[in-house]
Amino acid sequence: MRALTPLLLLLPLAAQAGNLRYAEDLAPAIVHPLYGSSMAEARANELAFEGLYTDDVELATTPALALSTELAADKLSAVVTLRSDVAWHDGQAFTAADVVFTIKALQDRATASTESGRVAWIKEAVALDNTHVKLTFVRPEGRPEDKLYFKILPQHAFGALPLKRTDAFRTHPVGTGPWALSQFNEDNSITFSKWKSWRNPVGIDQITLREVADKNYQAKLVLYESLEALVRVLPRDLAILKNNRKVDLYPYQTNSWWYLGYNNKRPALANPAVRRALSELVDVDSLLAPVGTGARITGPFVPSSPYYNHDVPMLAPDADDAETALTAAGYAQEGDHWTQGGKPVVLKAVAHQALESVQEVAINLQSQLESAGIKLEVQFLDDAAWKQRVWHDRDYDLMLSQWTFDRNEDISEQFHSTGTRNFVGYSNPAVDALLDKARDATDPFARKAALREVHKLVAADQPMLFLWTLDSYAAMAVKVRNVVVHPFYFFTFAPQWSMK
Amino acid sequence: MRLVLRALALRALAFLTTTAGAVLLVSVCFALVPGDAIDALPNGPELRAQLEGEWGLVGGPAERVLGTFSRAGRLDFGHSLTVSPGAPVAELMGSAAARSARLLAPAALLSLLAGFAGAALAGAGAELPPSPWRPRLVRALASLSALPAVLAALATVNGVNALAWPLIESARLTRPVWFALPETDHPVRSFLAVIVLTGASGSFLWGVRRAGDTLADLAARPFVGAERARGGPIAPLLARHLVVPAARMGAAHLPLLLSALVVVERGFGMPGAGSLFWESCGRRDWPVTVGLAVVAAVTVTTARFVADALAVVFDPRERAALA
Repeated sequence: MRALTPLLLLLPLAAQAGNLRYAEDLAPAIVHPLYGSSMAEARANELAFEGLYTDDVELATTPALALSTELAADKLSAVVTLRSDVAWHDGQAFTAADVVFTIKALQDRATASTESGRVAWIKEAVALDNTHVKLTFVRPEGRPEDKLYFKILPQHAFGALPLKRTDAFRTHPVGTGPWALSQFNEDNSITFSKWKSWRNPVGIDQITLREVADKNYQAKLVLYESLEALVRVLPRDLAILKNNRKVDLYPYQTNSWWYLGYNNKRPALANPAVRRALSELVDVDSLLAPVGTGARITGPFVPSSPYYNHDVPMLAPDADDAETALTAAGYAQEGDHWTQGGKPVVLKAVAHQALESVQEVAINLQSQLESAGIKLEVQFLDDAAWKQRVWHDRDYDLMLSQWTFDRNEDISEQFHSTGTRNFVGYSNPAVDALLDKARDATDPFARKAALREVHKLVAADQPMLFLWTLDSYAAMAVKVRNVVVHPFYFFTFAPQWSMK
Repeated sequence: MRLVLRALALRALAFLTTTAGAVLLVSVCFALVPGDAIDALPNGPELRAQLEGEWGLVGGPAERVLGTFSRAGRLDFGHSLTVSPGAPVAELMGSAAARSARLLAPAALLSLLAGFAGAALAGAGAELPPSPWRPRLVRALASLSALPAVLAALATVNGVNALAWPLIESARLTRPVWFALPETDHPVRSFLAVIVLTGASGSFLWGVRRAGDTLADLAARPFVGAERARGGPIAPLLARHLVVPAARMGAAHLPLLLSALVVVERGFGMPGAGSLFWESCGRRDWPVTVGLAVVAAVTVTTARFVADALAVVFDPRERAALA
């Protein structure tokens, strides 16, 4: 075989020292923090850009481009002191003008940023000098630092506002992050090189984002040493990677949870007792088993969240209770199926086809409900069809999906009656009031108390059956050292990583 | 000569009509398809009012059909919305098509050769002595060819890597450039992609049948019978008269190759027009998708026109039929 090697034009390909290659299903078309539309883009932005604040390894807020923040006594404004030793990837100095520019760009409606909501709480931003920015808030803020992690753009790289998605910056981004984007490659991969003027040592010289459309193939590429990192390992690949001595697995907890949403606006599902009865017909543990490991949840937070209400009991399958509730609500059991008004109960369920393992869950759910006498028609929708059916038309009875939150875990959009992501049509004035209270709270303990109460009320109303948060594992080649992954942005602590 | 010119004019008219029909069909399809690029944005509903006008997504289906059709007529494909925001679609398509041509051209040629070779081995119109194994071999290959291109591409990539990895691990093979997620183009990867493109999704089977019919038709012609009676070699005679049928066969095969190209390029991780089409569909970048669909349609109709024109010029039966 050695003799054949030259005939096949084979050349040795050693993984470059200090080059970390990781896979994304779809490479970002642009790297621009104001126009992020996927987690792949968020991760790429994390390499090249920085916010005023970021997370430390305990996920507590810690300064990045800022040094400190001084909050006014009335909590309606704050002065942020910036670092003076930061340079953009093109060598220019980072100043307060960049912060003001970024906030104005995000707030400019004509910019049409996907991230505009991150600065909606800021009324005004003024540069006091090169290293001080005064922020005025819409309403009192207790800890503005917790919201100052949106990425900062260089003013000098743009002309006037508004910014456009088509600006040349999209493929030639200039950030202050530990890696600078050096190239968009022909094969859709993106190369980031270490920014030598970064303020702290950076252990990895180069990071390459490789596009691997086939999720099933990604784990194999780690085994074949064609990739050094895999952001999330599929449950079925865990065993094979765990048993490989060249790969380490790193567990991390995300702020993502699965749910089975009920269309609260449908007459049949407007009654909380009916929704609860349906939830009692589902054995969530057996739905979860084929998907992977994870933690069951009782409400709209993950168990590790400070807002999770551990006093809310887990809803257990209870066919008798469900039968009583359905009968009381006017349903009748005829033979092996439930009827309403003489017609068999048939529910239309939709599921987003991109959701990992969704087929297994949906089919299992269908089987469970049919065994209980309720026919379930399931449709798997692609992104556009999902948005049309669920977002626009609200044409479904049940929907199987997942919510992912960043560090703020702001669930208002999902559960406030006026929330733009409240696709299940949930409405409870008490929950609305608590969500408003949590939003306005300047005291973290008051916010925590309000959101735990929201958890309790929402669990009682069952606008959706809260399913689980999955355990996530990142895979890394053993030559990558000092690895701590951020559960949302993945690369936040990557500057401390090193390669043997 | 007048007859030839008249026949060519008729063919050209048919070409223009078919092309216009194909472009219209593409326009109708994309006017009716659900969703658009704004749906791909996380806060699309909030941005819709603003972006719809900016991105040219306003108007009902009829307006969109007419808009797409007239722009395609002017060869104005506009700018990409989400695949490469702001980049001219023509530019994106040009570079992608150039890469795809490196796969398509050899695949088209190889398909023809494989089709005629398979038909000859199976005993159609050739002078090969009867053999029981040759038709069996062709049938086996044809059965294998029924594998959809997407599966064939994935199986090839996985299979080749799975075979090579133990050798690499045991140091019996130096890690090849083409192995598992190559960073650059490599002849081995291109070769495998061409083979899959040539054979999968029933491509080989189709080629063998079509070539078999062509060879049988030729073998039944009087001049072949006369040559055979004289004891002369039949093969050169057949080859000479195969130019027109081969051109027609190639043109008819092109749609199959173009559709397989989409999944083969994705499967092998090769950038090109097929890969770009896939990505633009996923990102709902209709200017890019429509542009590629129009170019594909025009490529197919042009290939057919060229094959028909060749037939008019070189095939007396064609001219006789027209007369």
